[in-house]
Amino acid sequence: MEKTVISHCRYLRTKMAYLADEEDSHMWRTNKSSTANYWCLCTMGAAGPDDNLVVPERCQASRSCYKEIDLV
Amino acid sequence: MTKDVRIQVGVADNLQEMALKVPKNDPRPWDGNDQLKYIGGRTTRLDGVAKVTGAAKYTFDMRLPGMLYGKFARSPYPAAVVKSIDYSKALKAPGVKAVLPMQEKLPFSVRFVGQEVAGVAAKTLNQAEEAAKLIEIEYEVKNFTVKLDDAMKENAPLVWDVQVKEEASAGDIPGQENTLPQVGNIRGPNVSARNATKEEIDSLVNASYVTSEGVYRTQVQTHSAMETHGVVAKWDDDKHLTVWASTQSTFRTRKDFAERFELPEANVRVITEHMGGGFGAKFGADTFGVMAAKLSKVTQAPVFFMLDRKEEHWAGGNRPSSLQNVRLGANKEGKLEAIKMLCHGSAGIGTGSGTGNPFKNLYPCEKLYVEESDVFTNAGMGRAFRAPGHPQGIFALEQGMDDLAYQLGLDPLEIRRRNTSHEVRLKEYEIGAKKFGWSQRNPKVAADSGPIKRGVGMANSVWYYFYGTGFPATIQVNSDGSVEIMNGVQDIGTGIRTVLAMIVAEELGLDISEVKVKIGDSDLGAGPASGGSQTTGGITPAVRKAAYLAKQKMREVAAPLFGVSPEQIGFENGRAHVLGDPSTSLGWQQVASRIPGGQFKVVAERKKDYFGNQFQIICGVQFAEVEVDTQTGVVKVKRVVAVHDCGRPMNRLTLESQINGGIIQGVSYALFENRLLDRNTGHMVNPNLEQYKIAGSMDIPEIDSTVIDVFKGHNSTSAMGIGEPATVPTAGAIANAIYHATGARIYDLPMTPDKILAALA
Amino acid sequence: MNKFEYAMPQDIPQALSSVQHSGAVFKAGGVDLLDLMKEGIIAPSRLVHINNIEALKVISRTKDGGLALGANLTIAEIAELRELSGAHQALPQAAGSTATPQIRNLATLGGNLCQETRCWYFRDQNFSCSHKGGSQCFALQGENYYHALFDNKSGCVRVNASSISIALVALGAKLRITSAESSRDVSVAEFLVAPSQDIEKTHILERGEIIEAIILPASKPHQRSFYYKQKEKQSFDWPVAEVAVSWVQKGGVCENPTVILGAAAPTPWRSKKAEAVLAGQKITKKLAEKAAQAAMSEATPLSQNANRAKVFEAVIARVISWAGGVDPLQEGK
Repeated sequence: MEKTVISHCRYLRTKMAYLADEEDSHMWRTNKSSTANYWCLCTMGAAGPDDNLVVPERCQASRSCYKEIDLV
Repeated sequence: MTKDVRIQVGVADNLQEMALKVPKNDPRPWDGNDQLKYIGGRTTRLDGVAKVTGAAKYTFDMRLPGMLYGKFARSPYPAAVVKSIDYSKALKAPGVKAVLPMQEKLPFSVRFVGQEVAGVAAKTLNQAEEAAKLIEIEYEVKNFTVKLDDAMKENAPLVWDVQVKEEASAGDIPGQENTLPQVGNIRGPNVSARNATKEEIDSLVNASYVTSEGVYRTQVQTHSAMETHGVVAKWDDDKHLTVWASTQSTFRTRKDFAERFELPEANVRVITEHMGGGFGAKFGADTFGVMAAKLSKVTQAPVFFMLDRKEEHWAGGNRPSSLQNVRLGANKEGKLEAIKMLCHGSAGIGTGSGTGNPFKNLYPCEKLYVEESDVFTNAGMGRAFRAPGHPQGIFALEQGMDDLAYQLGLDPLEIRRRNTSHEVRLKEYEIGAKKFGWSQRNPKVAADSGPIKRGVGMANSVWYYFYGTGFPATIQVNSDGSVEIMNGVQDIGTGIRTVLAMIVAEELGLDISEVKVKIGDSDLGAGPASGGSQTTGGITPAVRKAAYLAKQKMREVAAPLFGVSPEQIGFENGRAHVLGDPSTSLGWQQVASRIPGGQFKVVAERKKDYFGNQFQIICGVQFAEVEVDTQTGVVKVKRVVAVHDCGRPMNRLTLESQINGGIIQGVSYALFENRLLDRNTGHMVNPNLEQYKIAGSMDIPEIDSTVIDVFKGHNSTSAMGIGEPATVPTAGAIANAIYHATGARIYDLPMTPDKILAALA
Repeated sequence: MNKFEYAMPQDIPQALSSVQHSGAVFKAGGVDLLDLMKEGIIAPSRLVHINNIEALKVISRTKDGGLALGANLTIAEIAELRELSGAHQALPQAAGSTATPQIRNLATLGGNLCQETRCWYFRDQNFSCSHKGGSQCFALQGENYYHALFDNKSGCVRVNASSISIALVALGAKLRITSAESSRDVSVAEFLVAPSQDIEKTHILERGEIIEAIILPASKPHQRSFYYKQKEKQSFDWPVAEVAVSWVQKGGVCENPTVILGAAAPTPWRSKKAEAVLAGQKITKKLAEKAAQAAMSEATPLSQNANRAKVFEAVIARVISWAGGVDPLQEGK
């Protein structure tokens, strides 16, 4: 089992986020899934508050709208 | 503390004994030898009468005192920037209570026709609709692209034209090693390889004795659930929010609302008493949910916010399109030697169009190279849809397998046999072939002489066993003997409500009518989300364990009444007795009347399976018979025989219903459904259920569904899911049957008359 | 949807008086009308509900042996009318394959003839198309698989939605149109308006006029007719091709044929080429195929519907064969 790496914004969402246990979540968190579609909890759309695409590799710390996940 | 148990595991009646250690407080797992009263039988839905008489209240049926109706103003442009919004006219319209923008900050972009721009709440739905038209939105219109092939071109207008500033270099951030390239509108490829590089795979295919090549296309399909998306949101006070939601996850939707509105999760309640289908598109708070809660807050009134059918097609999600380049190579015996698949697909403005999973997981093939890329288009975002990627991938892969079989002069079923050693799959082939009469098929293609030709074909399903943990199931036994089973899990139409009652009745030796099921409310404790076909596999072990614990409690209550120790008490047919001595017994109610304090409550959690997170394939096979009118091109699916597995079947009746539903949706996908966007304006031209064609009663074939028993002993119920596997193979099986009937292979879904005629020409 | 008044006249004079109000329209079954209102295509200020008018539900024989069918008979009633078996069977065949059982129970004969096209650009208020008074036809360069194969050069490529009109034209039916002042009979073919005549109009009915009855001429000895609608789905669906034919057939020989195509042009499309092939000939499968080819040789497909022309050809040949008593599906050549 690969270790989960949580490095994206807390508001990143995809369907698998509603299903999997945390330890199974590496598939969507790290882009390994080719069937995941992503949205932002703030905008509820495919664009973040900064109007840019919401995907794990872009929802990162240097983005103006980024919010850290508390539990990490 | 564990105990040793010995159980019978295996497929159907081919059982063998397995020794297993289970926690001391766990019931002995149901196994292949258990003769059970309810489990594995056929119990009609507990809420069936309420549903067909209209007594069952869905989110759509909610009417609260003082309730307002919400509606969106949506973008008529496929690509534009919202510069300003003028609410003044809308605010003056009759009945209007509030108007709010979708995004906090202006300007913001809209990237598909139908994207939400602003929301309005009014006293009636009609007033809200009319007021939404009066919101004056200033757009800066931009170039757009809606067709997959156009969007892939170098000079295509960019759907995502705002570039992120290059922040920390990759490698600084954990997880960044999986960053996907994005050039133009193409994001990817996501590469999966087994013992082959991109450079090697073609020569590996070429070196095979026989090869199959094809470019397969699949269309965009919208979920079209009977109940549209939506919520009713109501603030009980400034800090407490109640939401009735048509959702596939009460509990996670609660979490979304809590996080979005910065409330403690305990202050949010999400209720889904009855739900009219989701197919993967109903997760989380969603656009309308957030807007409803915002409108409700400013108006201090409950807000009803359900999408209409048109909005559902535009913005409610869809199965992405695909363009799959497939190359397969097999040896003389038909054994797959190399698989190459490159796909591009569009999930509109979002991602997730990959179709690679069936290629990677259906057949063991040593050499494999798969690339999956998303192509952005100015269209509504794709969402998870009943086995994401799989009906698409199977349509391509299983036609390729069929092609290999015909080239080798092999029976299409035989080539599948030679490419699997999966015990369950082989058993399903045997049962399905027999039921279908596969051996009587004419090995020749296009054998019928008249213009209307019959043909048969088959295809495999492939899916996976997922489950979550932690879900608490609560059972309460009252002094009058009534039993309540409680968990927040939602019944999205699949029948989990009934299954919960069956399990409790089974474990406690009660009649099912004596069990009261309370579900669909986040206050009742987290339940599994209904996605990934994991509701039944996720919740049933917790429910059985809770029932088992309740039984121990009742033994303790009953024991002094018989003057024996608790372990000596058994429950059967609503009565307690001393095990091995049925001559004296007490009614369940009599025992319950002695419960100290008049009630007890037990809670059990969903724990990890005994074997941990073992990767398990769910199989399934479907055989189809079609009639192709070679002059008009019209295809009729006459018959489908389906054999599926999902661990130990709980309720065979609702399982078969789900398989039937999967097949009907598959027939519809194969022949009819197609979201059609106007190439010049990006508007969907068929956002209804008239020109967006869905199989009706006359289009549904004769269906024979069988669920075989697979006893694994991985937890106390051994249940797995069926929702997704049931729709995976249908389009592929139909395509193969069309080939058998006509000798023409159809590479493009939906298989409409014009495409059939073109292929025959 | 807009607010509107609702009037329920009990007889034709009351109905004609009530509809004089500006913005008033008749409503019979209301099937198409409410669709158009919900989509914001029309916004009438008054609906004059005419289903209570008994005089519009009468079935009677005309002096010359024809049949007058009240305009308010439902499609379901037409589908099952015993008087229409035999020579006029194309009409109940068309009625029986219209829409769904629920719609057939409510929709009326007159309303069916007045219905608007299903063109998806016309039905979407975002498109100001030529049929709605706008400047262009969006289907011409747009998504046009279901659009016209004939008569599609006049700036609107819609197809007529009424299956019943196809059968009625084949049978030479007329409409009795009544106003407060007078009454006139016009053929169904003249009732429906092609874009070349008036791009915005669908039919010739003016405010203050009502369809009282549909009049079928007396059937001729040895007359036969046939209608068939080819759908993609077997359940509720609009046609990809539909054909109605009628002729007199003595000793297997076809006289005075009419061949009418639906879902083919803005109005019922009469194929004189096909008729010329059939006239005076013995109906065979081969002749039917020849007539079908002749019919489709005139087609001018749009960018996306050339393959639909092929479906049409097969359906025309079959309908001619069926009408002539030949089995088009028999094996071999």
